[in-house]
Amino acid sequence: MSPPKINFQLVPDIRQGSKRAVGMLYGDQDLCAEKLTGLSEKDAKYNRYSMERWTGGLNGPNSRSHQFDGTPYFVFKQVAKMHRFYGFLCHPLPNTDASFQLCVLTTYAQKKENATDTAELGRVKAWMDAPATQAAIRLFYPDEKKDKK
Amino acid sequence: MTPNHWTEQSLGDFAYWIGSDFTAQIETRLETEDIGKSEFAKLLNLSPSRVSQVLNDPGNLTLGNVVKYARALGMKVALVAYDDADPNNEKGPINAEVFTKCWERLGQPKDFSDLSDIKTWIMHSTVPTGETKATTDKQNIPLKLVSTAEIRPEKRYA
Repeated sequence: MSPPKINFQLVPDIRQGSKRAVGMLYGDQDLCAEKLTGLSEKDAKYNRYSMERWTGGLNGPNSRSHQFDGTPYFVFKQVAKMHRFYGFLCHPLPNTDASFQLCVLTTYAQKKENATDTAELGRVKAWMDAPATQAAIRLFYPDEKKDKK
Repeated sequence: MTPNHWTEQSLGDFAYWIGSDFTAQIETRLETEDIGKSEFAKLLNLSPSRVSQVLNDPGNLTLGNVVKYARALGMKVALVAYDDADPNNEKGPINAEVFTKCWERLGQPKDFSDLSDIKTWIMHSTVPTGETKATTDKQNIPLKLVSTAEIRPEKRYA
């Protein structure tokens, strides 16, 4: 049996920015895509705003989203509902749009405590480093320079 | 055809976005001033759970609470209605902090008299790179570089 194919898509129903975008991996039970797209309407709105704030170029507040110091890991949070959507930041278009930044959401956790769970970041790292993830992102963002005629 | 932004689905959705945009500013202020939620609740003379409830459900903010929350942190509030040439709301609302940042970059004018005092010189002599320069005389803050071609002749001298 062939392993499940991992795909990437932009998070639907949110305004993506010209310099930032949020997407998600899907195709494996460990990934957060189903959880994110299956949120209640109210929770979906809360997280949509947080993501649009980030894609619009604003960082924080930390109660909504933040990067983990010294790492590419990132989280969107809804503290009251204990939702945590983890992912990583990358620049998928180094050749054609080097400053464009992408947040790739990978995994979900429900947690109350503020302390970072290193196990959660370990899951993010595993997905970030997976060849299937890199391939899925490259397929979505080919980053090919057009030949000059 | 471009689909409308999700805030176009109902007035409540639009209000939710605006409320979220406000509470995000409050939470940013709490973080930068290192004020805890309990301390903030004391400033408001409310219970911490009530404050959390309001911050977590921004769709139900009242104008009174907006003023109350901002004033408790020494801030003021402006309601800005704007026309961004997007009548069908395909692009969604603009973050309030964009307006705040523009206001700060213009030297925080207090009224229209202040605004007209901010003289903007557009140098018509094009610099070698083909760019034009603009600065305010108040704080010598560089403005966004604009081409003089984008400005009507009568508007070139503020």
